[in-house]
Amino acid sequence: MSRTLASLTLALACLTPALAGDTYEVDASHSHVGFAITHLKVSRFYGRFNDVAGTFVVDADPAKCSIELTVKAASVDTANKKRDDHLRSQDFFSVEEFETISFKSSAATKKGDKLEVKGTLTLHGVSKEITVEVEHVGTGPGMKGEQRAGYEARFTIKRSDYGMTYLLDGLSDEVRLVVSLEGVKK
Amino acid sequence: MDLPFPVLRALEGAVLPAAVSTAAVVAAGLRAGPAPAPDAPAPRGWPGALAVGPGFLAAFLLIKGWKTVPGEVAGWLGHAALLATALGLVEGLWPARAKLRWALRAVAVLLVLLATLRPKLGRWEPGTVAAALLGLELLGLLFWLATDRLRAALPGSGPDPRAGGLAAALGLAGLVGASAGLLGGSGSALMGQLGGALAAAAGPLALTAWWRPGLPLLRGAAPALTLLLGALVLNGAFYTGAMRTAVPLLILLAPWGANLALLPPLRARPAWQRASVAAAGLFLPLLVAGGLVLQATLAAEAEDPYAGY
Repeated sequence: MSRTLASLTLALACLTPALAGDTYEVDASHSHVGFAITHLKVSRFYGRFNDVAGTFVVDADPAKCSIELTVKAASVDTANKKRDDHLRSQDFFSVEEFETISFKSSAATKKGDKLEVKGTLTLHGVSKEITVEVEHVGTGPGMKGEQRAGYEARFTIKRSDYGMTYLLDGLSDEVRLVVSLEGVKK
Repeated sequence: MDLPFPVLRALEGAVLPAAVSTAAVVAAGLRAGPAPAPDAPAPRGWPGALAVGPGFLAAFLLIKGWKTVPGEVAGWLGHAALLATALGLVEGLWPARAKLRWALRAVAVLLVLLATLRPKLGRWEPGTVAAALLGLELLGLLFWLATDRLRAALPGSGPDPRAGGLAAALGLAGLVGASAGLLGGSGSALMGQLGGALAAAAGPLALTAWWRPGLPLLRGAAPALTLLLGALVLNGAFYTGAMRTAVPLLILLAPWGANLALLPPLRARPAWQRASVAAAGLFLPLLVAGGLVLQATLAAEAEDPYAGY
């Protein structure tokens, strides 16, 4: 999820030619890191993480775009306290052990009207390189005249790749992620 | 074959460890025979370790798989199973060597603490680390002493009165089974399932205690059960955020309740009366813990911000 977000951000930056080396701080209240997982092979179930932080650099040269994103695993929210507690346990995120989920980009290239961002996603203590497509949603002034930019990435990971192997027959291995970031120019 | 989800869970959590344990204790029982000759060497309890440790390990491998250097704390429970088996074998083979027994127990508890608390130790202040390790080491050894005394409180009819009998085997299996329920009910299905696997591995010991009362299998089985139950409780206490602190403490306290049967007024009472008192003392703290888990579950449902929507 973090990687997707990072990739999205980077791609957006690179897709905004007017910007050159601008650093944005993620505005958590207007950003979203969500997931969807298939429950009992019958329905798709949604959740999100509420504590998101990070920065991204937007540049006309994709090679100079970058993103670093951190999500607090304990902020998982599925609108049900008991289920959230279960998700925080060793059955899934084990948040007392692995406090954060993070993404750090390593490269970005243009792919059509999107950016393809490579980076390292660290989840459940396991780091893996992933590549995600990032869409630039928009760039413009905020309510106080500050510059804002928004990016979104949608991608799928396998939770078993990150050592989250419990109850795979009850909750799918594939997890869809949506990372939608709004950043404020520093 | 694509087995239904609940069947697979049962297979992993109970059937497989029970089968492994049954194979070990039945082999030991057949080898010992129904009534050993008076001049035959006293049977040893080491096969009990092969019932509990490998039984639990078989379920663990199915549920979590094996990694030589696990990236997550729960992954070390497989190593704990090997350690528990080795410890049970030593105690089953050389039951009289108390100093060796306690030295190895202390080392085993420390290893389990270090493996389980590894992510925490790096974040805590040095003073907190020292206090936590010392306090939990003492707590672990007191729990071990309690399960020793539980066996002594419920002796068998064999030549070794300290080896524990049918009531002690049932008590230990009941302690592990109830603890599994408490761990699962507190929010970790994984720890609950592994606790269930441990209880399933302990169950056949009771059967053998009834079938071959002279076999001191608990000599080897009890150390393995104690170390693995302690490791599961430690995982639950530190990594299941919804678990109330009192629940793991009550689990560790429970075996002391069985010591009521050792009180002087009860020592001369018939065995069934002592067993009843010991069972009441053992399960009362677990019942209280069950009440706390239920209360926490109801409170979580009541606090659900979307309840009623």
